[in-house]
Amino acid sequence: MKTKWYIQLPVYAVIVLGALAFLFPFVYMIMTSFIKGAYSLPRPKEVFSVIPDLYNYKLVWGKNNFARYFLNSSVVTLVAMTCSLFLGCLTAYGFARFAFPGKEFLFRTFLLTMMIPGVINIIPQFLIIKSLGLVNTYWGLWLIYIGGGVVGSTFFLRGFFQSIPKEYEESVLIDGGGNWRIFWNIYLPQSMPAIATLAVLSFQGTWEEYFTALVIIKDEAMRTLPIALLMFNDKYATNYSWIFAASIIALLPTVLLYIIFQKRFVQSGFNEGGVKG
Amino acid sequence: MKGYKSIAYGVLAAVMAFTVTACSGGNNAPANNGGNAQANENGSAGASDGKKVTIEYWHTYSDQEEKVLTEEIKPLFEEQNPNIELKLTRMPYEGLKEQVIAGVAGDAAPDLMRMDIIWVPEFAKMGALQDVSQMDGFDEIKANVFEAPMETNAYNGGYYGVPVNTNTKIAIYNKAVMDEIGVTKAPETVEELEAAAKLAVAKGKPGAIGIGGANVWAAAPYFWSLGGKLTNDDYTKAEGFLNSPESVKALETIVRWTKEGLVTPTILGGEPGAWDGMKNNEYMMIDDGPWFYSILMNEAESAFKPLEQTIRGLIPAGTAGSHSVVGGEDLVIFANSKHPQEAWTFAKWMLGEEPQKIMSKLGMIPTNKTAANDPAFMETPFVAEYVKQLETALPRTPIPQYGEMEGIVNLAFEKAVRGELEPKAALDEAAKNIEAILAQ
Repeated sequence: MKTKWYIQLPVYAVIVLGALAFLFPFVYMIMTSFIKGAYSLPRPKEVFSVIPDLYNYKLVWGKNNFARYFLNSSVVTLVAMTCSLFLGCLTAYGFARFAFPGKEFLFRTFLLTMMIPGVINIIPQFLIIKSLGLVNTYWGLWLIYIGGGVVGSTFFLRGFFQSIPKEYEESVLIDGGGNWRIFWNIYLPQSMPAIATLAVLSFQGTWEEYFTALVIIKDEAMRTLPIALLMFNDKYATNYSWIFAASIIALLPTVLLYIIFQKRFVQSGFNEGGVKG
Repeated sequence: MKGYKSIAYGVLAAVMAFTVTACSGGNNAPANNGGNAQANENGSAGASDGKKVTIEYWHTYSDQEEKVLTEEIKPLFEEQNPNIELKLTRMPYEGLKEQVIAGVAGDAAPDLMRMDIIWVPEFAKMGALQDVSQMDGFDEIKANVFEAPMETNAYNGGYYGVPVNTNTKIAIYNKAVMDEIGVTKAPETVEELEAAAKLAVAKGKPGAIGIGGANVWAAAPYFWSLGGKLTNDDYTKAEGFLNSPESVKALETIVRWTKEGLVTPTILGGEPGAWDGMKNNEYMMIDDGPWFYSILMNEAESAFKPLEQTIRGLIPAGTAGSHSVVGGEDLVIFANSKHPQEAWTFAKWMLGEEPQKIMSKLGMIPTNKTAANDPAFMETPFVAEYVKQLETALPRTPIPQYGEMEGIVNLAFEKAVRGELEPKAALDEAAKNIEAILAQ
């Protein structure tokens, strides 16, 4: 059955308008990043008459150790994301499928830590990292990022894991598999949509994190990308075209990750029919 | 099961207790460390035993300034002080205060830092900084630098830093707009300013008196010049000063200018921004610091040529004369510095004539009197007006509670400008609130 054109037209009009509204600021940002020497925000007529070239991109790539920090951030973020996802999955599995004393209490404590704003934590966290001798190391940074990440992933995945039918487990048990096999062969593949979403969130959270990184890392050569971005924001004057060019470079990995995982987000309910009635 | 429950509560209690002590430790630590620092000072390996000492220096210099710092200042200092290595760390300005607080609380602050003059009393009160007035050679330094910037370091009878560079804001007029309205030289009084502004606005300009915001840094030059005061001269009383008839009249004048459309929309955060309006020949006048020239002159890609396209003048004089606001940075030594003597050696050296002259090439106004009066510095095309303006420029209230006080004054200014409160009512309310925090 085909929808009538006069119904389709307004629907598409709304969709196209919506898409334009969301795209406009982004396009404006990209156009501004091509302008040279924008110490004040450029006017629309300047922005839309600009000839695109990569001048500012080349410039910021060589400024404030940008390239170096990009690499640092990649290392920090990839390790933190992988570890917090993996540990988070294991923890969530434990909370979803095992009965142990104090389980609910422990879970609530996890939730409690999520409700404290990060800035309040920073001094106690720093003191702990310092007493462990991990100041100015990525280990210290990973400890905080992964610790914080595990809590979030556990909360998010526990409910998801609980919705997976128990009958799958029984089939593994009958075939002689253990908990590890259940986790690895049933829970992980079944939860891919949730894990993919978490991966993007976790990546973004770590990739953009600024304050903790600056507190823990004291050596300029070890700093991460958000610090380089903020260096463009000077005390008295800000060159907006540099900031925008730098921000776009910093945004690319996130966009890339979205594209990679995009297909996973929409796949829900593909496990339906695996269990008989 | 019950046993587990009580253990769990015990753990929770312990975690909470730890968090609480850790937090309060954050507040108390600096005060305690102040005592330890003394021990460090006596026990630290001085430069004399031939061991090389590294001192860490946090700064927020801009790109061009950092270049001079690493390529000229650092090698020169290390050459003259072979036992000290200067480790430079550039900090982003965003969230800097929180970074310093975290550093102080976690015993991870650097040895010294170049910080905004307005933060010094607050950190001094926290116990985070060393009183340098006891250090060797302080009196000599004090005699060689300008008084107003030096006073920004005073707290409780001591000095908690030394001024490394100073600045102020002057009036900057757009030449094209001035030509259009037929005014040939910068207005010297507020009456002349108002008359010129009326002409510019009549020509359809979006604003002419460039007040950058309803806050102390932006509006105080006009408020003070028009006769207003924030506190008494000892900074101990606001009641009767912030809301004196002269202060009320000053704020009323600013509000009237705004209502008549003479003030640029920037006073309430409107567009175009000050530099934007100046570059596009829309604003007749803005006020700004020397960075307006040093940054824009170095911006080779820009079509705007600040020296040719602007006229400089002092802040137009009102009933109280011409008073701008003092800005700048102080060098402070942290209480838990491991090498306070070496840090002080650097601070003293940095205030000397030669390093001050090097930095002044970038348009930074030296605090060292000899360096500031050097003919080579005065030849920098835009500095003369800034140096002249500094003679009458006033500091923002140098008290530890300034951060809070500024918030209150800003709110009063904004309420009056927005027309939400009569200027007198707004200032009365602010004076009352400031009295409460001054009593702390």
